[in-house]
Amino acid sequence: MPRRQRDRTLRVDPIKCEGHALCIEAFPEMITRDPWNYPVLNPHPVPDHLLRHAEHAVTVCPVLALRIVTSDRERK
Amino acid sequence: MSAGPRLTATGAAYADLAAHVRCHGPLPATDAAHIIDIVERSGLTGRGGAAFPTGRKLRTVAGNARRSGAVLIANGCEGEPASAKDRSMLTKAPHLILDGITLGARAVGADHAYLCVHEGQDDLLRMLQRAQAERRTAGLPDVELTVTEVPNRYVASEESSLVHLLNGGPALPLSTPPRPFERGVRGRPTLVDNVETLAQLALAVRHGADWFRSAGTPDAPGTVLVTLGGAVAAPGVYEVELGVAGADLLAVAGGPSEPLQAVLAGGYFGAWLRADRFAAAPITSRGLQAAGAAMGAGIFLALPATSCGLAETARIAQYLAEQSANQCGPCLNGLPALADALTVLAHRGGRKPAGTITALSPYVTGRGACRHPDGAVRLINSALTEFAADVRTHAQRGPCQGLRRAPILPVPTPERTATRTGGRVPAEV
Ligand SMILES: Cc1cc2nc3c(=O)[nH]c(=O)nc-3n(C[C@H](O)[C@H](O)[C@H](O)COP(=O)(O)O)c2cc1C
Ligand code: SF4
Ligand code: SF4
Repeated sequence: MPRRQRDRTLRVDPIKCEGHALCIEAFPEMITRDPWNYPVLNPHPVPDHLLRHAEHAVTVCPVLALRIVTSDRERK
Repeated sequence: MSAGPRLTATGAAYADLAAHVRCHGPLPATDAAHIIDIVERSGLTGRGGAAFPTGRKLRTVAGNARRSGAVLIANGCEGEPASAKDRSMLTKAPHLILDGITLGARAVGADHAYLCVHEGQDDLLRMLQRAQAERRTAGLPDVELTVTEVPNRYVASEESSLVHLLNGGPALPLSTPPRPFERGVRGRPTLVDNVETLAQLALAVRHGADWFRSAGTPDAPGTVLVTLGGAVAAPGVYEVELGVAGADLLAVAGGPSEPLQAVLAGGYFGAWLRADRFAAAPITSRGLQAAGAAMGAGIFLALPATSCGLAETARIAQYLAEQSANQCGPCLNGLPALADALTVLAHRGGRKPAGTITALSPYVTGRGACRHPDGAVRLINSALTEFAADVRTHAQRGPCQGLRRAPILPVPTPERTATRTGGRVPAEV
């Protein structure tokens, strides 16, 4: 029986995002800064031990541009 | 081409309904399942730029729309400044497109369709009214169709922009998901297809998948409309078989009118290929991608050996930067920065600008809501690789002789767009 694995990945809505960069300060482990202060997201799933930081970054975004999307995949 | 023209088979400047039916036969009375099946087996791919398999898109929209019903958008905007094929098709063979709209709508279960064209083409609107009147008189079982005018901007004809506009908003791209095929006009799954794609569909459904595949190559079947421009003897719109070599494509327009250095393949969403590489490349989406370019909307622009490819590209880059919808940070900041760096490289020279372009490009590609910035970055970077020798000359010795020549690539309203910077070369990059 393959086990199910739940992936949580960061996603930004580029139209909503205003480049406040608050999320970058909140979660530098996986969000870095581009030359114009907009966030560059690490495309890999957020490791479990960093999930609370990721959730915090989502809550500090003043325009609700940052989300965590969940997807399931099978783990061998 | 061996099989002869298909889309343009009537040869008429305007094929009225009688001429259209004489040439192509009547509108088929086929049902949805049959249409999707034929289009899938035909191997038809979208002619609007992305070369997505049309049959798969039909099946997806039809599946999503089972309960709600669907909407169809025929994209006739032709946002690419150098393209002329959609307007040519709409003018010469409107009934083939209108047949395609009705068959496409039937396939996905749409009870309403929109034909989107750029605003300010009153002659085209009158002609479409005439064609629709001919069909009403003949009592054709057409889907209800609204012709919609779209603002004359590059990103206004991107598919989510059209959905946005038809839902009462501005013609600006929307964040995805949902994509139009999931949720589009009035919340319904929406099929967006280029008008040539729909005309091709109308022929495939009439004559079958085997007939469709009797032109072109196994992985790129059929014919395609191309706009050939720049330094060719007879610029214009031509119908060719997919898979011809680049050299044979240029020969269709009478061949180069002077020695060439490169061809811009795929329009302003495409890339430069040096003339020798272009001559050998097969004209298919896959073949051009393998060479580093794209089929795009079938636009091929030949650049004379004596032109400055960097300056030509800088003008287009300024235009594309000016056409950003200014909604996404990396696009609204990144495209002007890249365009300015290329402009400085072309008109002033120096070592810094090419480095700036290489450093900034990864921060722009894939970071907008739509693919507008991706296309612009690809075009700019293709200039750096294909004109590498010129980049070195400009870096070491400043601008080249090519700047003396007037630019040949078309950019709309040059008084505004070629001069986002007020016509001056930016001071700093
Ligand atoms: C910035 C931008 C502009 C576009 N403009 C056009 C256009 O003018 N006409 C068109 O057919 N497709 C255009 N497209 C592609 C459409 O979004 C869409 O993919 C296409 O209409 C689908 O039709 P097809 O599958 O028949 O190619 C554009 C895409 C982008 C990113
Ligand atoms: S906090 Fe929100 S608006 Fe600010 S950069 Fe991050 S995602 Fe964008
Ligand atoms: S990527 Fe650029 S053109 Fe596309 S929606 Fe964002 S700002 Fe507009």
